[in-house]
Order: sequence, then C-alpha cells, then structure tokens
Amino acid sequence: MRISFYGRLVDVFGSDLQLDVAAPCSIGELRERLQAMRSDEGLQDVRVRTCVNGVFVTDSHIVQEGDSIEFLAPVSGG
Amino acid sequence: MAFTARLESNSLSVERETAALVDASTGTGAIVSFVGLARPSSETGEQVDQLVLEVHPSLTQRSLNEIAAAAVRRFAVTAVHVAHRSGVVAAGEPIVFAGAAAEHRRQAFDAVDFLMDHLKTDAIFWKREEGSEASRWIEPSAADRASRERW
Repeated sequence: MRISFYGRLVDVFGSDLQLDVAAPCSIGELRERLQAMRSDEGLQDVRVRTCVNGVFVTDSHIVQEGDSIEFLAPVSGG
Repeated sequence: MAFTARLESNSLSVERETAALVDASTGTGAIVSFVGLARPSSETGEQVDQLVLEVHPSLTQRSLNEIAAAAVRRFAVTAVHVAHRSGVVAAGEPIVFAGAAAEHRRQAFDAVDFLMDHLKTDAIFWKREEGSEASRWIEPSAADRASRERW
C-alpha cells in the first residue's frame, strides 16, 4: 500500500512510503502503526487530515488493497 | 458568472493579474484587489529569505476553486479573480492576488475580504519560511482564525 505525506509530516515520514498492510485495516490503525514506526506523534494532531483516493475520510474508514492514502499535515493556508 | 482561481509556479505580475480582472469586469462600477507579499521577517523577528509553498497535486487547486466559488455565491459580484503562487517565493515578492468586480464598491470590498480570510485558513498549502538560521513551518495565526470566524 502506498502512503503519501504532505507538509511537516514529510520531515518525519518522507514524501511517501510503501507498507504491507493486512486487510481489513482502518485509517486509525494505520496512523498508530506509522507512529510506532517512527516514534513520532505528528499524526496524532487532530488537524491532520486523511485522503483516500482523493476523498477526505475519517479514522474509521477501512482501506482496501490498491488504495491511494495521503496524510495531510495541518495546512498553513495561503 | 465565471471566476478565475489559478495556481502560478512562476512569479506573479500584479499588473497582469489586475489587467485580467479589469478585462473580466466590463460594465461594472467597482473593482477591488488585494496583493499579499512574502514578508522579510518571521513573527519572531528572524530574517526570512524566501517562502516555500508546497501544494497537493489536485486538492490545492480544488480549494482555490471552492473559495472563489463561495465568494461568487455569497456576494453580488460580476467577476472574481484569484492567482496564488506555489514553489519558492523570495521575500518581497507577491504571493497572492485576490480581486473582485461588482456594480458597487461594498460588495467588491466584502468579496475580497472574504476571499483573503478564507485563503489564509482554508487553502491547501504548506508553507515554510527559510532564512539563514533555519526552516520553519507556518500555521495560520490566531488573528487569521478569528478573521475566518467573522463569516
């Protein structure tokens, strides 16, 4: 599963990474797993938003094989 | 009516954007515009040489469209024109141009005020200030958030 990051999350996770994920897996579970991998709590910020296949989703969303997952750091605005 | 909401990866020309807005404003009585510039120092007083504006491949443009469309729905304007930089912006250079045309000035002023308050908090950009010392990610200020709440 390919996961991309935007904003200051890139400093911790890089702009994207590949992860083997056993389905079914929720976004919330994915966040916890990523946090554990990098010992970083940046993903815990409630303002971090998640996009799956171009649509904003909540932590309860279940990801499927082949989904494009993006974690967006809180925006700076324009 | 149409709006223009554009991402620009090269430098913004205030004259060119103003001319485009004037062209789109035939028959109206009022044109209002705002230009935001990259400040040469941070909130804490450190020198800033450049701003780096990172974007999402599709969501950033979509957010600009949504904000411009919201201004068109809310105010009696005949044209809305937004142009926003992406990439590296040197201190002093224009980052954003936001303008509107209307029959009368009140709607045009209010539409541009609305555009900027929403661009400052809702537009999907991630900005870093870069100076000689370090690089720092920016968040909307308390003032920006308060301004957004006015609407």
